[in-house]
Amino acid sequence: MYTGNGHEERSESMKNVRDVKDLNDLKDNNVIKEKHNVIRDKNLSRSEKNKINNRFATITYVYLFIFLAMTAYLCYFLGFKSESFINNPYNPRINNLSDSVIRGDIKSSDGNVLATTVQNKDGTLQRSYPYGEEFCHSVGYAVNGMTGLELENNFDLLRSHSYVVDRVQNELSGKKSQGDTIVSTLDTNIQKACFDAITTEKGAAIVIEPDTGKILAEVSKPSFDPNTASQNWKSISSSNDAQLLNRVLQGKYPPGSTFKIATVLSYLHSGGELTDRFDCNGEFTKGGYTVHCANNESHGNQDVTQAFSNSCNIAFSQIGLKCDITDFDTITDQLLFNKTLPGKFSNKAKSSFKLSKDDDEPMVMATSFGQGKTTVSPYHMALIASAIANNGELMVPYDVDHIESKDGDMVSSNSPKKYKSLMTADDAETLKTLMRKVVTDGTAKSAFKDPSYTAYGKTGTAEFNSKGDTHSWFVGFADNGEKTVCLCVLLEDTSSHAYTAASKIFSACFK
Amino acid sequence: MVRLFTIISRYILIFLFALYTFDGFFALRSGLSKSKEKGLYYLQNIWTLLLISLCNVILYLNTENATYIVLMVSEITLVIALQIIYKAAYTGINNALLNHLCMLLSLGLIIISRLNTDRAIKQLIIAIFAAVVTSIIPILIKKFDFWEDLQKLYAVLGIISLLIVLVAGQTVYGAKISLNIGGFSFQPTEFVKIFFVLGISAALKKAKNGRDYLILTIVSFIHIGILVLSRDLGGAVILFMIFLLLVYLKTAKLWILVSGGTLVVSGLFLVGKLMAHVQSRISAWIDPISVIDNAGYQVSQSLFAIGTGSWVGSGLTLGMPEKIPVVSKDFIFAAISEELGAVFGICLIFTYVSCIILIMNLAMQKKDTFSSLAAAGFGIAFGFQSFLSIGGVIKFIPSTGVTLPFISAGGSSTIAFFIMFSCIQGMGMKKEVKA
Repeated sequence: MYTGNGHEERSESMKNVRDVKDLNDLKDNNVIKEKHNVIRDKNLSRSEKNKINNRFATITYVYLFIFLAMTAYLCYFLGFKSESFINNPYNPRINNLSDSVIRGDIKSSDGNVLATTVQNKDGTLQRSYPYGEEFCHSVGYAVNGMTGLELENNFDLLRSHSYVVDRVQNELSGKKSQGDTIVSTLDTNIQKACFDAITTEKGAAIVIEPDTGKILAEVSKPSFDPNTASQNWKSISSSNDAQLLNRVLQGKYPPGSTFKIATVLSYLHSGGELTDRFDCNGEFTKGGYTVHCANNESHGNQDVTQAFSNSCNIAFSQIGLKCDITDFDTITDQLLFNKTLPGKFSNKAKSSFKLSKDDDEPMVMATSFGQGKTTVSPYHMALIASAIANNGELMVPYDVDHIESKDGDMVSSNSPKKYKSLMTADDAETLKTLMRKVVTDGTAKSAFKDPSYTAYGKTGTAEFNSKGDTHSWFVGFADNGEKTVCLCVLLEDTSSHAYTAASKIFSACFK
Repeated sequence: MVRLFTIISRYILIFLFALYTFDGFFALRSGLSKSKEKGLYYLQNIWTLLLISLCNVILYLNTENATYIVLMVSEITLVIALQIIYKAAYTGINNALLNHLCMLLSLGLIIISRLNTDRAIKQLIIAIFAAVVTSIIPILIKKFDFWEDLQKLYAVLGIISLLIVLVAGQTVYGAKISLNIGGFSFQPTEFVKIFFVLGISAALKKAKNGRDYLILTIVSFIHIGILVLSRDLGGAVILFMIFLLLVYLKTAKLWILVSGGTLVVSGLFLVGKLMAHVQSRISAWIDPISVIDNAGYQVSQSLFAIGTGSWVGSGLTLGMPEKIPVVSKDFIFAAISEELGAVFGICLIFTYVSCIILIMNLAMQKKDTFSSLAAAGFGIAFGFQSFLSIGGVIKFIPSTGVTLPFISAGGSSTIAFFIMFSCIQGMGMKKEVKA
């Protein structure tokens, strides 16, 4: 690599000695014994010269190394990172792709078209959503901004993997190529059941397959028709009911009694037993705070299992007070409170749980039955139920099964991935038993009459203001020996029951 | 059809630049006959001229703006003039370095003109001015020997320039780097690098004992300290590298490299803790998406550009480099990579590597300590600034906001690097005094 110094070195070796001396500050006069050993001098001078050259070489190699490392990083970024990185709503280039590609279709797992691009009479292209309101939050929209599947797969929808010859032909003739098709995990029948089951004005429902993490349905109400969103944008975006909000992912609700799942786990980890007994006389006061059960019911003397299935606030206040706060923290931590939840969905809300040793008794009591400062999203509750149904293991939730070209060739596909264990298999088994009791003997016993499945769950009634208005929750799962589905339903501000909605959704799943 | 032409020419442009880079490395091999070496350098010039022509034709066809034809003719003329004049005026000029200068300059002009033709014209005028003015530098260096006796002047000039910036400079992106004089933005730091290299080289040549080295170190750290206070960390790191590597070249003490490396890492850590502006750059480096609304915006846009352009690029004018803030200066590598492709960008990286090897080789062959160290010092500054600029743009290292030598738009930077290159050429041609 270093040219030119070879011959110079030989012919000028004597002078080199002096120059080297200059560079090197050698005070050693022995180097120059001109009159004597010339050969020795030559060797010496050469080695000295090499030493100096070595320093230049060292620096050159250091530079070579950092530049090569930088090049390797660039290649690594382009080879492995860039695809997922550039698929971001802040990247203005992606929409440029629509100059040469027709935005692809989105299909349901049962083969129905959920979103497609149609040509208007005047030749312009328009996005069309055959199912209208039903999939408005899950499929999303691509008109004023983007959400849902449209947003997450924006880049893939605008790429075409159709036959190369076709694409070159299109390029030459100035025609657009057809973008790839997203085949989602959403099922139109289950989605419809969810949509119909939410009878209140506002609410949310999500159905997940616990052993794979596939999202089968996701509904948030109020919704709107994405086909006309562009025209109605003003009223949609300014509505007081937060029509644009996907309540499943973004909602932050008090969990109410569904939180007793966490409380009972904390109690068992603090050394409590399911056979421990508590009294309920319809009223319980501690630290100046009085707790009532729903409808002022009095449950009498019950063990933990009964307290869970009756959803007894009084028993759970006492259970909470017996819990070790550290265990409470550990359990909620494992259940992903205060954490970014898994799944590639933007805008997922973080659930929040706060309880410290300094909190007074009323706060501990309220927190134990899901009031206090705790908030959760329906998505998060569904994930907890999903882990319980799957021996404690949570799978990473996903809603895209695979991507195919317009000719049906597979472009890429998703497979189930384990996220992590939220609890031990034993804990999951215990909770399963408790949740079965809720359906057979407890608060939800009137709801699940359909013999085609076995249901498990926990109801919840969560107060969200001081007037005593409530949201209704149901979180649980059902199996028929072949498959298991898990769901979470939330109905806002209502006296009707989420478990009624849940039973209808389960029936649709097992039809 | 224009679109198709643009898309197909991506491959031709990459091919041309790859040939250029390859020829450059091939010519570095020892044992090559003089005529063969010369032939390779001529070929390099041909690739450069073809690249200029093709790029400008693409730009013209896409925009139908006749300015590009004017720019094409000017760029070709500039390259040919530089080649002819330098070779006629100086025997023994380093041909390879001259070719690289022409290539980098042309690439810069092309990409700046793609972003903004007015700016490119300004840049062209600056380049011509710089080329003319600096063409006498090699003579001055060849003829006179007093350069190595001026170390006090270099130190005073350097420190005063930096102090003026510290006191009167404008704050741009959190750092004080430029002065506004009569409507022109002027960045003295770019020139301080030159004084710094000359000063250290002169002082090192004469340094005999510990006291000399101590003074040298103190003066160097005064420079670096002022830059840190101006929050110009890019400049501070470059000066520190010059200091560290030149002292190592003189003393051959490996521990200097090691302890210097440790010092710079711990120093950066400390500065990072203390300065909010550095913290935000580091968080933008670790995860730009998480802070995309503020500190991470620029790096994210840069990576979007590079990622979307991918290996072969979108084709000139078909990308959106204008979405990246400060793209014509610090982030110009992203614009190149987006539209001309990452393969093209990698060829560019290797062209910089080739420059560093050439400069170090030239410095190594000098027997006079001052010439040798000064040439090496310029190489160190040039190489490290290229590394900081490209590394920051591709998120390999935190962004330090330095320009890409000879490519970024900006008068001070271009003129300063012209001076450095002519100094290097001058040092290379200087006759060795034989005792």
